[in-house]
Amino acid sequence: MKNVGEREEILPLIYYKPFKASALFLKHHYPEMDLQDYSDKFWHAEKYFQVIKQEESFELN
Amino acid sequence: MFASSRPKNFGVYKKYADDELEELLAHYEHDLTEAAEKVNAEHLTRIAQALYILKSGDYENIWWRIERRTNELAEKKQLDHYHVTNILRAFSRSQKNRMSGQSKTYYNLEPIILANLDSIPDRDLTHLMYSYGVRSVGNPELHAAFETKLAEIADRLDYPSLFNAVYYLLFKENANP
Repeated sequence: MKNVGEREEILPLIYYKPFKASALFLKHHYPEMDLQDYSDKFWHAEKYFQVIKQEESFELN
Repeated sequence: MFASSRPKNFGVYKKYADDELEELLAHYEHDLTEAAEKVNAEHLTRIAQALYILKSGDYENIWWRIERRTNELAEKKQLDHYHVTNILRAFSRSQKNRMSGQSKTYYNLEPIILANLDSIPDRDLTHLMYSYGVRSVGNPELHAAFETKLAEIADRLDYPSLFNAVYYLLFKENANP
């Protein structure tokens, strides 16, 4: 998480899913944790993410 | 609107491309099954990688033979960590992510990973973690070793490796940010 927060590159869309899931997981299990920096990294990916397109185009196998 | 050059038929040809790949595999099916029974470690890795990349949902018969040969070579100690990483990566994402290979194959390959843990590149290591995590297989010693190693390398992982590592931690329900 520290690594992601310090990283300058934008999170690529194809790698978005596990990061979002991990943020939700941490938010649920550790509500007191500060996830601001971590979640900020997904801003661009979140903006363009669509579930339907994920299945069709961005799926990473 | 009529003069627009905006593409309107996304994905229409995807089906045809899929069909062509299936046809290609059908054409070479017997060659691949025969080859997978007796090839060396290097070629076996190539066959596994090719099948995974072509993303066919079928051809379990080829996967079975790859798996049997993997176990055979592992017993003869002819597999190194590069082969193990790529074969397990192919198993864990094969058949359109339905996966192939039996759990005992994963257990069988564990000693090779444990013996080479320090020489495996970071990204390959995260592929291995993903393979074992997504299947929920592996002895506690292996997972303990993975977790120790992950704590060491976490600071220098890139996004593709983090993708695997985050999935691994989520599958293991391990929150160690």
